[in-house]
Amino acid sequence: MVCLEKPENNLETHLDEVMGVLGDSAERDKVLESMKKLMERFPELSMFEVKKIVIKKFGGNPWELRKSGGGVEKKLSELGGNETSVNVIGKILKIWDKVVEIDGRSRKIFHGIMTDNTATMRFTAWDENFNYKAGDVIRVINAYTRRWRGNVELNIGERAVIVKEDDSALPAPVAGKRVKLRDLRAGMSGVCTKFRVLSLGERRIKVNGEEKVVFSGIAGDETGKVLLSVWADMGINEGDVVLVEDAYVTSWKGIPQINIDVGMPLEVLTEDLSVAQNRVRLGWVEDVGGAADAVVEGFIVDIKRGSGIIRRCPVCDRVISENKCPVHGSVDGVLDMRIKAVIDDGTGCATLVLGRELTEKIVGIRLEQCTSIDNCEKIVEDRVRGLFATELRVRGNITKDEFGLMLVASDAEIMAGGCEKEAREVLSRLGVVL
Amino acid sequence: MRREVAWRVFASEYNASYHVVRGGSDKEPTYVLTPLGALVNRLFIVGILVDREEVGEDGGLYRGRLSDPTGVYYISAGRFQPEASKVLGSAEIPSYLAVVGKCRVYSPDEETLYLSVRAERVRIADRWVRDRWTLRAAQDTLQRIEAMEMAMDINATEPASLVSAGIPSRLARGVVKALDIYGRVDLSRYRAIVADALRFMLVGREGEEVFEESYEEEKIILEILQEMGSESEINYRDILDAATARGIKHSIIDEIIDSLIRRNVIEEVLPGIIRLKVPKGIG
Repeated sequence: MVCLEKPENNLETHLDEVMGVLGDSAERDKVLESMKKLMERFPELSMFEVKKIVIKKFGGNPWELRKSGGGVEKKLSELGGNETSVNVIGKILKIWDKVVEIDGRSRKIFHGIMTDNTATMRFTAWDENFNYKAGDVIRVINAYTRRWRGNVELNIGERAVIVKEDDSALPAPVAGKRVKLRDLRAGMSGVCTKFRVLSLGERRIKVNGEEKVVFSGIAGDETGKVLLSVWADMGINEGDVVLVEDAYVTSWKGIPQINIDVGMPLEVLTEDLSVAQNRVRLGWVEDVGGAADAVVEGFIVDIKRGSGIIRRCPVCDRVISENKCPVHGSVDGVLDMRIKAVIDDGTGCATLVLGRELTEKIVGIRLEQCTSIDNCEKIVEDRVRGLFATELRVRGNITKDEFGLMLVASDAEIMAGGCEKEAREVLSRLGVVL
Repeated sequence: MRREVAWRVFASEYNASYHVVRGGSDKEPTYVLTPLGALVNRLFIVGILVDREEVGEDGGLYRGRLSDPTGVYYISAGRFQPEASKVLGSAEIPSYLAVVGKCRVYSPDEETLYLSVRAERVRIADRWVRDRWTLRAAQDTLQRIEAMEMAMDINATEPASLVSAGIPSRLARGVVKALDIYGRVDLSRYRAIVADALRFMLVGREGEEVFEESYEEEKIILEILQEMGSESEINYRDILDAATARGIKHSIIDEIIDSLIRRNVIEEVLPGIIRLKVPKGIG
């Protein structure tokens, strides 16, 4: 398949690493010769062991290698934001320097943007002598990554080793461009992507009068989640890691949905794929159109009427007042509990709906307790009102219509305290040490 | 009609705004453009109510000043916001308030712009709500600073270049516009504001605990300040001498003075020169 990656086995790169440890004391040709010999004689030996043996032979310290080459080889598109030691290769598109205060001293650092044909991302180099310019292709050994407000950023710190490369070292741009789930948008086609099937249920639908079995669920990768629709039985099961080519993307109430059908090259992989929480900001969701099984942190900025203890028509489930259903007349209303509010995270807002169970959790009173509590409706009402200006972490599908975003929660919790760690993170980003 | 987002913008950024984007028709909302590119129609604020007055002939209209770690917002609530007005009118001074409201712009002439916030919802808040808000306001302000920094670096004239770098389109539009209107504002000033607000939040907490334990001592220090004159500038050494004479330890005095400054009860007009703040009407 076009978009499958081949394991990288670039001898020159390994040689660079070895030379980096040995320095000028050794002759490059001789070192290369020695590495080749070893690889011929012991093809089963890992490159790491080969390099260690060669370094030792030429009088170097093999532990230096761990320091310089210990990272995992990854494409930029594979970075998840929590790598502590990773090796990447990328072409610098833009670079600019900045003077920041660190520990009270002024220091020059560099910000930039780099690409490797699989993804484009921001990076920060913390070395004052980082003298690379736009257009340079560099291999960075021992970089680390951070996630900042949803985006992964590459950090080139003091432990990093940099080797200059040329364009041919970059992964070739492929026809079916590999896309991460976070970047899927309705209307895309020819999409090549890898994901884990988080849930998949069978549905029977009628197509042109014929009954057909289709499957729908949720797909996830290290960047996010989308809806998944499989239009035929293609042997995909919950938990599978799937690589698909030529898929297309539609949307359901604004949520991106990847569609898989017969004829698309598809492979169930044996490798593992970690799936991140789909943490989103509402401004971004507004741009995309929706989000599947997303997590939002925001303040309650308004509480709608009809929140708290409500009555429903026993026949049609409509919310009624004074035990009168507009359709079924005088009825004996059934008690229920819910919250309709507006959640706002500073970038966007959504109508938030909490059903009975979550309302009970947030309010701290169960509906069945109400008969034994005096003034229960009033107490619940007061507690619901008290949610104004409270920050909640809410999980659920976010859909979009002409009134804006709507989040029907599958889980919710009140966020209290715990500001200190995040506050210190912001301060350290500002270069302030308390 | 889509609901407008409630921005978290520190008072000093909001008050530094002088550009208003007016909607073409009545239906289109008006936005205050801040120097960092927030296009604000609605705000969410948590601050300390430092003073309030009832205005208007019919009553029920209140104006107040809400202080955050960086400055003061002018807020109001009237008869179209009866619940907000009730809370604003009855809240203790000082106390924490959480407010969601709409930007109000009053410009008596072309060169003057008064910004205030017309409250839609008000609630008595506490330190924990204040902390969460301060954190979010700090994070959002930093995001604007960094977006603006990027816009300056690449001389962005179109939002698209910022959107492709991961900045939400709403913010990208504001940032490009702000760069055009306000030019290259001093971002280090805003970084300092964010750092100060957070430092205050982290360190201030200890101060407040001291304040609760040493309430009696604080009363004595406030008495001393009042004796020395409510409008005049008082030398810190004189306060120290007077308070020491009444048996308060030096370290406690310092903590109380710091806490009073943070809570806007007194101000340090110059290093070592303290002035007791008297509630003023709204200018």
